[in-house]
Amino acid sequence: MTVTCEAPALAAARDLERALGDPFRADAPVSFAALVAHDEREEPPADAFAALRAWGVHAHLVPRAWGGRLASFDELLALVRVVSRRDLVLTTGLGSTALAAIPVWAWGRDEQRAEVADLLLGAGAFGSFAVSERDAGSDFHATATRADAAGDGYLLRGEKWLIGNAGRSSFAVALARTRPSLSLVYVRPDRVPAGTCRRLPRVRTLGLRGHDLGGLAFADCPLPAGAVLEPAGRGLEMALTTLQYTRTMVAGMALGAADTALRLALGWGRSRRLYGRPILAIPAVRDLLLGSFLDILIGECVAMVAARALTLAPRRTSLWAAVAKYVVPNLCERVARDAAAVLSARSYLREGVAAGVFQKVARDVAITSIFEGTQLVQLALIAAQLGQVARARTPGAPVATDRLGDLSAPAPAWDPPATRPRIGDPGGDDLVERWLLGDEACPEAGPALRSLRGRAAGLRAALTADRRPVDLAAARRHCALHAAACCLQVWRSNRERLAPEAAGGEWLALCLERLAGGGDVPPDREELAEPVARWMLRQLDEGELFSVAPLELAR
Amino acid sequence: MSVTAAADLVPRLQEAFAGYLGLEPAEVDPDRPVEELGLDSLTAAQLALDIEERLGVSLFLNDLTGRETLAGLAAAVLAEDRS
Repeated sequence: MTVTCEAPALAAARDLERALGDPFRADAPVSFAALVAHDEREEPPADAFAALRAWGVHAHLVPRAWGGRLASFDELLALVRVVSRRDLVLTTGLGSTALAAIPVWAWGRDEQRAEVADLLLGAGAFGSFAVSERDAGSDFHATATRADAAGDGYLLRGEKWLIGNAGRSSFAVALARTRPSLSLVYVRPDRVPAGTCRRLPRVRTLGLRGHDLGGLAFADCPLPAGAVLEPAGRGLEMALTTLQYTRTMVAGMALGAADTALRLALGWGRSRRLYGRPILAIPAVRDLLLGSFLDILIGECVAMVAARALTLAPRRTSLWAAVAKYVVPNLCERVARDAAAVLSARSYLREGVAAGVFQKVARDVAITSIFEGTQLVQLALIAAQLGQVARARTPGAPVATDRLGDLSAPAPAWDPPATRPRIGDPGGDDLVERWLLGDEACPEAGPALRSLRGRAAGLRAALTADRRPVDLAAARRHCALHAAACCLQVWRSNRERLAPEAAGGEWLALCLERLAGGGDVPPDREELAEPVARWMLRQLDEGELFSVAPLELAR
Repeated sequence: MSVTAAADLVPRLQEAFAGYLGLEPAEVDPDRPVEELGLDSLTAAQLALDIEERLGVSLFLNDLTGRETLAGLAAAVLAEDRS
């Protein structure tokens, strides 16, 4: 066993791995073979949900104050990754539930919190976050559903569509017009008079074929006085704040899917022989998959920093969660594409290698750049915030970045009642400030650091030069810079504890080169590539998650 | 913080808006419609949260038509508080 970075936030994920078993084995409690069979029948993987319930995964959606085990979001991120490497249908169902529960923990009444805790801890129930409508997707202001005061309470009217868990949710949080403005309202679909909350037919999709995606139609649905989450009129702000938590977890979903894609491609590259040798010995194949490994490492650094920031630097997460949601799914979808290039014909079969799970992963991972706000929505959010930073007359208080990257100590536990709706912060990006706008030395970073610093300076000059709205191209450039800064921070915070193949920082130099080159540059420097490729293959052989910090998978 | 008169509230709103617009408070014209001040909807929403936190008055900028002025908003907010 190699001595490496011991990250306490990974302990629960290791335990869950053992409980779920090695998905490549058909006799595992949760196997790719069974998951593919459910997908073929377009039905939820009920047995896998049961295994997750039995292990107690729902407790990780309930904060400790209400009897659960949800503490820090880096721990939850690791759980999301190990479940997602098996099936995104599982984490999408749980994620929709988390979306509905988070506003209740933060802004609900005590009796609502106790009720949701009971539903999750007792029954492993599902929840729905009912925000979008047929004619109101990303534009929350177009919301037509209304909660009008009536007697002591409200009457809810309108239709929510493309809602996760809509056919099975025991509780829902819906965005509705109120006086004033928009509010979030808490609903128990099974506790309202018959016919006033109708579950709409399931919607058929390209991927996630076992997910329960549908809608909820409210017809003068009576709700009690306490149904509107306080403060009333801040529903849009609460919804956007809630999404900061779940967007960070979507990065974990994408990373889980990417792990399986790379694992399948590397396994195939080892076993498939062409021209008298395994195809992994062909330099172009190895470089392609090494690039995938780097994409996962970059995505992990961004996701871990964002997850830790949710409790270490909550004012920054309006920016960083949007960046993570933009960057990580993009990287992970590229991992799936490159893995498909190596798997070639096998990537297209619904049978064979690992029960034909690859085509399912490739279809499923495409959701990560769509839900919880599309990539264009994330860029618009980032652009608006970069504009705020550029225009701010007084800079906000800085955030210390060392703890954000330090994997040896879990992030602090979340304190929901202390969570304020917050959807922007003119405080800036401390990671970019420190690593790319500062001049702190990092010899391991290689020549790409200078180029990235030049770009950071150029972007800052462009943003502060005029007061025009920031465009999406600038937001995209900021995303690459933030990702590089996250890699630098994770390296700096953990370098003494990394695996031997990672201790020289070659992976950092390659990640930065990839980000500086726009991503498509193959790693062409063998002295850097060799130790990183060895690290990747050891993680494969020893059954670890592809990661900076080792997480042993079920064998 | 208690704000009792529109005359007290207007300069505070000017200051809050100025912070998000990159202007000096005096450059924010209290008699100009808010839609002409150049705030995107996300920034407007965050500005409203900041005003609530710092001044204790609740503005719902999403409900506006855009033709309202800061002076008009200040008067309306205080009238709402008293009702």
